[in-house]
Amino acid sequence: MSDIITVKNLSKSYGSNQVLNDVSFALESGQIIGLLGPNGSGKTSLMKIFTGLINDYSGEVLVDGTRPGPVSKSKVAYLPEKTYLANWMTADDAINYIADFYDDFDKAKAMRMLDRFQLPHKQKAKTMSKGQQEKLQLLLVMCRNAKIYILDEPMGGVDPAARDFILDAILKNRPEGSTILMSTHLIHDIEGCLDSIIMIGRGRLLMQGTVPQLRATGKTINEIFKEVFSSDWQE
Amino acid sequence: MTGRNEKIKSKMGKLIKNDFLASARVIPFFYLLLIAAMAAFLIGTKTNNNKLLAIGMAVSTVVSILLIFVTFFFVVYDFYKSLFTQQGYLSFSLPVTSRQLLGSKMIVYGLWMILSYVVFLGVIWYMSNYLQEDVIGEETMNTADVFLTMFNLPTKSQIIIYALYIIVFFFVLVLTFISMIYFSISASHMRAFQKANLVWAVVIFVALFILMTVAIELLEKAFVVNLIFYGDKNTPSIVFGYDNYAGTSFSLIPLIFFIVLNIVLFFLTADIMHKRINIK
Repeated sequence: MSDIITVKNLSKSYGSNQVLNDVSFALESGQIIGLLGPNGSGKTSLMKIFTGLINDYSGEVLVDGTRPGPVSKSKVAYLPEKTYLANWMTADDAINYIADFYDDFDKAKAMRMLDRFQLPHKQKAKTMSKGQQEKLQLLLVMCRNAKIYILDEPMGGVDPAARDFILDAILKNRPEGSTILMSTHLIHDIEGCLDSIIMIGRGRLLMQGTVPQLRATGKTINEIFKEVFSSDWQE
Repeated sequence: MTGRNEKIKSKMGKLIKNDFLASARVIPFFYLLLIAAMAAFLIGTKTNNNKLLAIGMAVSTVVSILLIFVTFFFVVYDFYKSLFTQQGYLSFSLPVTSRQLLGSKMIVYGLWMILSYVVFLGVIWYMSNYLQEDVIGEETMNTADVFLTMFNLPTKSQIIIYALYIIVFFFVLVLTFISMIYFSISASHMRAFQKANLVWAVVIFVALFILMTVAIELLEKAFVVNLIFYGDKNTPSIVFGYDNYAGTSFSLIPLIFFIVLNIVLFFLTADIMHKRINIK
């Protein structure tokens, strides 16, 4: 399989705080990849670089062969951690908005999913609950037939039932051959569906490998994660 | 690759459409209010209902002024809200360039802003015209004509060219004003200013305004580019440098300066949006 994302000597800092320091790696296409690391390890920054939201970095980043920009953005479906809908938008408005900009967006599927998710068509985002807004954003992302899905903490801050619902929606609606890069703290919940993982921390790439390779050590990914990052919490 | 680039260019139209839809939620309400007030005014004039006429006139004037402020508020609010709050995650991940994002907002809000001024001037002109005819009277208007002839003021064609110049200048001025606001907001979200970005936005805007005023003063002293009407000629000439002419003239330096400033601010703002902003 070919590489869908390649990173060479990537460094990014916020003032004196270096979040990524000379990081290099490549991600294979067609996989579900877990991006793991503790809070502040640079996971969100890395995802924002891939999606073209951060452009002041050094090094080389290629997303499906091009630098992050309008061309790569049309191939990437991005689910940020934040709720980003405009207050005035209804679910229908949001669907029309995304359909306008992404040729790979399946509007009919979005309308069907809207009903399946029991989301109101005409209710404004500002009056929706956080859960409803998150469901709507997930729908907007998963109704695209994108090459790459970049999902930042898609199950963060939700109850276990909602986690299953979200994970199910991601896995069922993922087009064949697409790549999913997903950051999360809830390793235990997603371990079973990951093909490979990448661990970053202290500004560096700490580990990368396929799940079968890592499990061959006799440990779960959760245990490996704890081992790698436990020193960060020791006095 | 070319096909894909063409698709990206075609997204500009979609951006304009969606920016217009976003802006059209509140602003048209004030235009409807204005239409209702103007209708009341007209009915008052036709039916000689002085009460209705007075109310229509007062509400039309107030709403047309309010329209400028409301439009101005949206010029600032929508730019800030859609790009520099969490909504920015949506805007900046669209498959468009930052120049397209900025250009779309400049076009949509520039047009709304110009429309609000045009409507305001139209309302004032219409009301004053009514007052001239019915209150000031024909005698006053005739006196004004006599004064125009006595002081050898410009001919009708010259006045039209002046008016055209003023309209173009005014449009450019409105766009410059919006460019300055967008630049100030964008710059104030750079890392160095992020902690107090509202204060910095105001400081940057004021600094830009002072710089702009000084620059125009200096440029007008250093260079002379005048539009001149020689004698009775109705066609103006553009004259570079001082000239011993006998006719009416005005400087083109401010217009040229504002056009250049607009272009510079556009590229600077787009560059800041692309490279220097990290949405929280």
